[in-house]
Amino acid sequence: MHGFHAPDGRLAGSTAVRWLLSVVLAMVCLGTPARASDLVVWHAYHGAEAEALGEWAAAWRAGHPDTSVRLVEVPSEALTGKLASAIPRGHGPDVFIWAHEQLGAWVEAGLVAPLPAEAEREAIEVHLPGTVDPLVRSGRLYGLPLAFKSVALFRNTRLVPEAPATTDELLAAAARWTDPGAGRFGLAYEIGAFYYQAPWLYGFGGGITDGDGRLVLSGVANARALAFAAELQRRGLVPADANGALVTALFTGGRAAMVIQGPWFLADAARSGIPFAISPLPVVSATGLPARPFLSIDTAFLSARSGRPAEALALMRDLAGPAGARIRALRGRQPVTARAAYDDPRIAGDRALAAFREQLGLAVPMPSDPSMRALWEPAAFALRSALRGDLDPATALAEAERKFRIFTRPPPPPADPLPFVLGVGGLALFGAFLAVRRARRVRLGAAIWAHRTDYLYLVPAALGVLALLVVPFAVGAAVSFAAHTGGGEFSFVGLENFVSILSSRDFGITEPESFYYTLGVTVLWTVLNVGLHLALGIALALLLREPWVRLRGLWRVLLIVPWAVPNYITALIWKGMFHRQLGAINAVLGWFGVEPVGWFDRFSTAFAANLATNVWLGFPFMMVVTLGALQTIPRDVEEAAAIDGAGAWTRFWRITLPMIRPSLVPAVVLGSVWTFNMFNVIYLVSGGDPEGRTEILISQAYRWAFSRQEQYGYAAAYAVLIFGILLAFDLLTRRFTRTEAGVR
Amino acid sequence: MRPSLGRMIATQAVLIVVTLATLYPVLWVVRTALSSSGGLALSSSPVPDDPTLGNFADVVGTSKDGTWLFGRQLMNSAVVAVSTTLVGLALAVTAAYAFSRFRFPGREGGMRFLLVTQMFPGVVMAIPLYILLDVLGLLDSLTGLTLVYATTSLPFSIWMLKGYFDTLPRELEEAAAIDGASRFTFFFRILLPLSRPALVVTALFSFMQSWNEFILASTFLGREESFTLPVLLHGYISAQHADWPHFAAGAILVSIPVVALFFFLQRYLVGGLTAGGVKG
Amino acid sequence: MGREGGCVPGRARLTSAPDMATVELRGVCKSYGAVHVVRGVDLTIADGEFLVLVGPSGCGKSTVLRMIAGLEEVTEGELKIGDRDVRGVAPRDRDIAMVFQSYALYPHMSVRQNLAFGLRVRKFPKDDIAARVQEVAAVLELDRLLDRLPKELSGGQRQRVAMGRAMVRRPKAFLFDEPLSNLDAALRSQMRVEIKRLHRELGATMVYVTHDQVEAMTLADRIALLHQGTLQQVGRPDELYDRPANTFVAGFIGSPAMNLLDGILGGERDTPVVKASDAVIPVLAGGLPADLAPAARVRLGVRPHDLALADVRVASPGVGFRGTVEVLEPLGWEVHLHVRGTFGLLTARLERSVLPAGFGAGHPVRLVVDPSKVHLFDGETGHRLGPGG
Ligand SMILES: Nc1ncnc2c1ncn2[C@@H]1O[C@H](COP(=O)(O)OP(=O)(O)OP(=O)(O)O)[C@@H](O)[C@H]1O
Ligand SMILES: [Mg+2]
Repeated sequence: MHGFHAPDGRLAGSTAVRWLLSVVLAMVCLGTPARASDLVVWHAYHGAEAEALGEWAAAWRAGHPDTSVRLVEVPSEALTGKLASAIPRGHGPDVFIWAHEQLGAWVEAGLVAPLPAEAEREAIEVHLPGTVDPLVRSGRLYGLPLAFKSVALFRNTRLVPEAPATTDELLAAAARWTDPGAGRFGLAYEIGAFYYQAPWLYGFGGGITDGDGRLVLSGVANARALAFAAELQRRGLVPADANGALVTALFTGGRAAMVIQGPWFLADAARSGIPFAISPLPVVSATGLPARPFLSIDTAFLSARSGRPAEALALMRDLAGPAGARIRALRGRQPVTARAAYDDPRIAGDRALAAFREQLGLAVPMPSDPSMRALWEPAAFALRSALRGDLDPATALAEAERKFRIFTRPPPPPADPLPFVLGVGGLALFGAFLAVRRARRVRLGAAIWAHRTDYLYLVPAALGVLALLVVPFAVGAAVSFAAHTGGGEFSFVGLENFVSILSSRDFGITEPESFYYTLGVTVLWTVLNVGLHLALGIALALLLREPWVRLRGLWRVLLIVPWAVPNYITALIWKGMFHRQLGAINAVLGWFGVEPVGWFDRFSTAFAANLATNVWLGFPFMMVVTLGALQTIPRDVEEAAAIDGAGAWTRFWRITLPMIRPSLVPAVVLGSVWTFNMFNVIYLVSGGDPEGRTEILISQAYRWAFSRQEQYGYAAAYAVLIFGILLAFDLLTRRFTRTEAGVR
Repeated sequence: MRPSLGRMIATQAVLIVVTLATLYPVLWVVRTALSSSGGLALSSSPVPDDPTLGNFADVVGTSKDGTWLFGRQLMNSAVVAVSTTLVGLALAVTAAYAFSRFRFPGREGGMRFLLVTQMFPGVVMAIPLYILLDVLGLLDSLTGLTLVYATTSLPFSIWMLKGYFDTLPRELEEAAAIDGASRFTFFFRILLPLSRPALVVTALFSFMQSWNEFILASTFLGREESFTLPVLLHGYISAQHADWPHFAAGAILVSIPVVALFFFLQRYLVGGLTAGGVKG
Repeated sequence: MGREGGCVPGRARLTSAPDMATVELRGVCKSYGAVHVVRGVDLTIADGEFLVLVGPSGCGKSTVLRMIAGLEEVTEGELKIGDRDVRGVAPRDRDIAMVFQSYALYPHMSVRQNLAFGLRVRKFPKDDIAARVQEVAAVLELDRLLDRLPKELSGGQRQRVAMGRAMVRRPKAFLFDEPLSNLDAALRSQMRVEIKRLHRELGATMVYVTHDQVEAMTLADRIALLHQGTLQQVGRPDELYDRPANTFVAGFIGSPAMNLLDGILGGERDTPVVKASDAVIPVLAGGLPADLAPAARVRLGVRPHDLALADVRVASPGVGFRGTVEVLEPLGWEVHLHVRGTFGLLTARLERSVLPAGFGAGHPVRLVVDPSKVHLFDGETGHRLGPGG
């Protein structure tokens, strides 16, 4: 193929055609299923770990010519959702790799298959102690451990030669290097993330489970742990609001003496050239107990719907066992669980892996109970309000625990569907009756028949919209009458979800989780955004259409860039710009002598940050629409008005705006609807901070669906309410748009 | 009307300032993409310290088992985005024409209904859509993805186009009718050429929408060879660790075609064709 | 403008359309819902006739024209073009052409393409199209503009393109909807001549809508005057001028407008007079209907130029209109006098030379009219009394 050299243009043209053909063929082939002999493995590894997996797969293929393996790297954001949709419908993988915490939910949902008893016996022999137990639920082993992941203490050995054994030593070492004014910190870690708070909880004698294994948050020890973290931040030893990227940057830039990080940080640390060493987290001086991080086990799970479980299991055993482990440890630098791997001198000699193995003995396996997923949000909010000093740690934790209990409350009891069906049926009949009567009166049938050819133009679009928008929404909305009882099972609960939301039964009306509070924020959010989008968009469009403006094309292109760059990355960049110590916004404000603002500490500023981001993202759209609208209006009308003595301001309000209004109205209506449901910005910029006060309805719905115990029914009810509100908004503006349409 | 020199300078100054403010975050993406260290840079200056193109090379070079994944996924993205645009536009243009020009019963209701579909919160739709595509046998195919994208952007496209069609004078259509043009001829020979600005905006919008979409693509597509670029891009972000430089480099690579497209198409936005023909 | 006056020599001759057509409206009505815009119009336009539809704004002229064109459906009544019932026939199949007030040129097509469009969609052979476009362009002097876009033309040039677009098709009938209203006065009178000449050369049926009575009078073979959706009078321009069928027509046609005053019939049977307040105006006995009541209320109409100045000092008190000059408008050769008296306000149009020196506002005047020039209308219905009524 590649040896072919086109001697002239005609032939080159024909190769282009052939190439196009092959593209088309490729498209067709994309729909074909994998070869039957392929065992499919889904994973979310990236970089070195993914390469190691690839190397192992190559080795496996060499040894097993009849059962080949196909690896699919799925972005980690997407993997769990994808598994939940794909496996029940038979499109999932045979084996998938993920951290063990999801196990409880997956067992409930029937996505994973238990392994045979002999596999369990073998696993206990093969793997390091403490790495198999977390994979056992109700006495059965699900999956084989691959690697253990927990954080440990990385230190820059030039700045901190000796590993601190206690927190006192840690603080002393940190204090020596700290100079916030110069952007230097003794210790950096994601202080606002609850995952990184776990070591202190355990170190102060607390934790997140009580004696019966129930999840808890409150307690004296936990409060002391939060107070400790707050003290670290207050003394400036640890930068506030640090995210992973910042921690990385601080350490690799030589500006943080120590960081708390996991094995995923090894590559960055090594590449930076900073001399470093890893040691287990220190003992908490106040209690004499070691700080114990969460442990999570990367696990190979066997899909419950795998067509060839025996072969898949063999594959898993090879991957998890010494052969696979050796490759993963050497190539991917994974802290592998297979003991035998450590017989290899190259692995045994890896100081980093040794340090993580040492930390393993002190790490606490993350609970894999399904309700664990509902703990993160309230716990993180509690942690952050304690760090800010908004609430004292004990109160914050108690509050978080209350929320957690609400989030994990049992689903409402099933309701009898009969009265409901009768009610809905009756309403539908009545509606149909009214519709028919009205149709009769205005002789709708005849009118429709007279216009029958008109409808042909709408058929393709209508079919598409109906099939791919309306039907899925209707199905999704129907879930709002049900409650997810776990594991993909639903029970009918009637209007219970709506009653609960609308009566704000579980939350005070001013609490951020209350429907009405969130609605208020959402409305404010929408109004301000659309107003600013319009103002900015129109202003720029007016400037840009002036014929004497130089480089108009260039400005136009540059100003539309925010629209062109995917918003998930620019939203994150904006979040970075609002960082208290390192963000550009505070730097600019600093030139004017303004003290650094903790943007996400207060509602007003956090909301403003979200707003700034979304205005930035959204104004180009309005600008382009306005430019288009301005093209359609004759300049001479405005010129006439100018001659009549109308000033620029009057001209705009009286002449230009009314003329472009018909083109703007659809953009404004659509823009309002989109902004109302603008999930990305809220989620990525403020993340709901502080305490969920900047959430809007759609992000609450996501939280109910994905981070609060998968309450799909409740989330669907939220979605239906959002829909209802927008519909009501539309009906309110209907008169306005009706007159608009009446002009033509 | 040529304004005073002062106003011209002020206008240019405003444009420069606004553009700089607009580009600042984007420059940050560029800086991150060019940086060699793993984290975000620590100053407010968007100028990179030790620029490297290595991240771009890594992203472009993404391959697996001898398949050049980046190329394959770029092709997938292009195929999906282009066909989404074409399919979406074809459906939207006919529907918008009917909504703008015919007076059939249910016309207003139909327009409202389209708006209503934009109010469906996506959170409840992904799983039913998945099941639907599965039933239709369109799962893990670019065709299925294209159909979903095209219908998702339909309501917007119809609204925009209908709004534009409404601004075209009725007389043109009547003149054409008297000249002997069928609806079909009018549609293709007069309406569409005159609507180029709106068509371009709408097409750009559909294109960008499908080109950047991630969630549905990653849910519906099952193999790396069928992924689109945003899916590749999101692979750099994981729960514990985000590889910003590569992510940023990928984001820039993904954005370039869109920016380029706008650059090349923008002259069509400056048509102003209707200005001369209708009014004296 | 680059266009000299309407000189005819050296111009290409136009081939005239093969078969021509009458247009026939029988009781045509048009309503939008409950709004009745056109009410029972009966009108027959002869083959090759130039009919002008006039009437005040909003009276339904465009609607009638658009019904003929097929752009609006006929709500009620019959509509025939050349013996064919065209209700339900698409505009394209009626073999008519229309020139719009706004021209409605296709903005994205050059002049040449605009002219050719109608032929191209009808699948005329290429050579044929080119020949016809050339022919029409020559007649309308558009030769040098053929490759321009409409936005690059002046108003008058666009107007000619719009006409050309109609002409190339050689239709049975031309429909014009106020084609000149966007032009300046000079150009308008020039184009008037142009259209008239076109009609003469083509001999096609033409229906022309305007609210400008000068256009109506100069162009029309016959005028149809429409008011609030009903036809008031159809006839030759001089008929409408000389014998207006009712007060509306009387007031509409003629400039300055006819003076209309309320009066009461008096005098003897064979020497009738009309008394308007203290003015006594003798009228002709011959034209009055026999059944008219002795002291009937009438409307009296006098065209301004039919009024003459009479001696104020004459003893006979009642005859003529006595009043004072309120305003005097000099218009070169003529003057317009606005005279106020107990009867109300009168406008008189006089030769300037008849006025005494120093004559002006505030002067008392007496105006008289020849009895044969007096129009009488029924005081209730406004219908004409007397010949032609
Ligand atoms: N679609 C419609 N619905 C209701 N009324 C209409 C409609 N179109 C026109 N009309 C009314 O019909 C009447 C006649 O309109 P038409 O356009 O025929 O007037 P015209 O005589 O051409 O006036 P002009 O000289 O101003 O052009 C007007 O009073 C107008 O308001
Ligand atoms: Mg009109």
